[in-house]
Amino acid sequence: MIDVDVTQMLGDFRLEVAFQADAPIVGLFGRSGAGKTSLVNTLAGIARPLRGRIVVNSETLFDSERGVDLPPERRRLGYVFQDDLLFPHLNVEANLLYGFHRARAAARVIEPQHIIDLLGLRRLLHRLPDALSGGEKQRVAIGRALLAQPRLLLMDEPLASLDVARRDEVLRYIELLRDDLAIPIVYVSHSVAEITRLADTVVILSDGKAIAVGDVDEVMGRLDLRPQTGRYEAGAVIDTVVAGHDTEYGLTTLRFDGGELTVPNVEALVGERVRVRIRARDVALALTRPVGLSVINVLPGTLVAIADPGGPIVEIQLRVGAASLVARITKRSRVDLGLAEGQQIYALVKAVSFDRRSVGYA
Amino acid sequence: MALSADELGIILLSLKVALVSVAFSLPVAIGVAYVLARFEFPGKTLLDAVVHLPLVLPPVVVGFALLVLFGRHGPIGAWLESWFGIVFAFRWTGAALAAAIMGFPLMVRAIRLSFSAIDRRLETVARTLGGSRAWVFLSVTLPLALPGLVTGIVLSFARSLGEFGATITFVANIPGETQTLPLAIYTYTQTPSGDPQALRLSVIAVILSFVALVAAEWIARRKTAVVRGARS
Repeated sequence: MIDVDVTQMLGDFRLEVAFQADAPIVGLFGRSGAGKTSLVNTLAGIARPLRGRIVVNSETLFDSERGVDLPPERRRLGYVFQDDLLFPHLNVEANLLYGFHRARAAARVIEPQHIIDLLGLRRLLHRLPDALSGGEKQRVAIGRALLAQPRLLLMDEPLASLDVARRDEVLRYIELLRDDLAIPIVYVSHSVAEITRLADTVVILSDGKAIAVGDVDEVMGRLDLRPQTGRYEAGAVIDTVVAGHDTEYGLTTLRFDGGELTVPNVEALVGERVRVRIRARDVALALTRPVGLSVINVLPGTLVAIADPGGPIVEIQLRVGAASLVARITKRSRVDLGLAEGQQIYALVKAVSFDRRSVGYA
Repeated sequence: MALSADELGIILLSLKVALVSVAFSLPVAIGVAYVLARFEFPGKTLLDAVVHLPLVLPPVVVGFALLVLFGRHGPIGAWLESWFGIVFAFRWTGAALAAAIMGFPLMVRAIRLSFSAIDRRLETVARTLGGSRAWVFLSVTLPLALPGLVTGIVLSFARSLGEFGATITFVANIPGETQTLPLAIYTYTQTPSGDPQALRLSVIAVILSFVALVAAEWIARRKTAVVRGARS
């Protein structure tokens, strides 16, 4: 449980953020300059807010009224930066154990051996940071933060300095951590793909303010937040369970509240939770269930809202079962179909529009 | 070229003076360098100037200032003698003090540069990992500043071995007490037919400085390797 309410001045920039979140991974999303890093630095105790309160797991870290302001070393918040920032004079093992040795013996529940195996660091232990790849460095940095026995892990764009292949590697490890350790994570990113893949609750920052807080699929599907979540990236997130594999055609069926989705093979066991992201531009609409069509996924739903920002394109929000979906279509199609709120409608999603980056392991 | 007892005495005294001056000025230099590298405060320019003064002043002036302040009747000298029994005037300790002050700016400059070169976010990370300010300084800042520390020590040590003007002004030229290598060489050059002796001592000075440089280089490499290989 994170309870934040802080005000801070950074030159002319006013950071005024208040939110509460209780989730395994809280996504902190916003464009660059929205105040994400400033907020995280405030949480970590690196920057001091003008006023406010920071409470993590019912422990008060900062409270201007009661005069509480724990220094960073007593907040027990693991901080993983954009750059790995490993100590260059220490080898991997010494880096990993830096915080572990500083933690009180009674608080040492996360064991070095466990983390070393979990993050695949065993053969790197005696190397110096200079001799590691970018992905390896970031894994060591994450392990180092975890071994300091934090009550919360802050990750500020941990993938930003990595190439695409390394990002996927590190993302898988973060998912592993979330499933293996009961440490909540605050994950900062300006990437919709990362936030929707990892986060359960998302806080959207804009101009130093939290303008939306809620479930990631609900918030990221909201049309009024498009200026922040982005037009190109517009889409929705759906949590599903693997229902079966079609080995002949290499397809996987995912079941969710509103029906089933068929996607290219996902490497997960039947019954495992998988989160998919459906981009708005990959969704087409039909008034009746179409026949003679190559699109496999046809989902019946209800039209909830229409956003018309002016211009040739409109966005339509649908409810499919309990899930939310967004479709981008032309204004002409909207007029031709006579779309209106409350209408029953079919959403069409091509199976090939799901790629590796839009399917995560929830 | 066997060393005479006199020559050996001069060499040992010079080494003692240089080592003691480095040992006592190092902690102070680290503190001053850290303050200058990390903090902004009123009077910083003044502190910086005072630290650099021995570099630009004629050494004789520094020696004279020491004589006035640290002499047995000087304000600081008298106080030190009455409270702690420490005497600098006309003693080898005074030579060490003069050497320390003359080498101080070189030491501070080198250490300060390496403090400034450290990515401060490394210290921030160390704090979030549970390190107190003091521990972070010892475990992250100092090891990362090691190249600057070694450079500072070598420069200051070499400067101490060669110190002449401030020393002779402050503690005079007393054989066996304050007559270090440069003072001894000077003495021989002032003596009729002393040139061969002056030459011998000059060769020794060259060898000594050279050995000091090589040793420092060797220590620097070894130290760096040790720090890098450290387990925790």
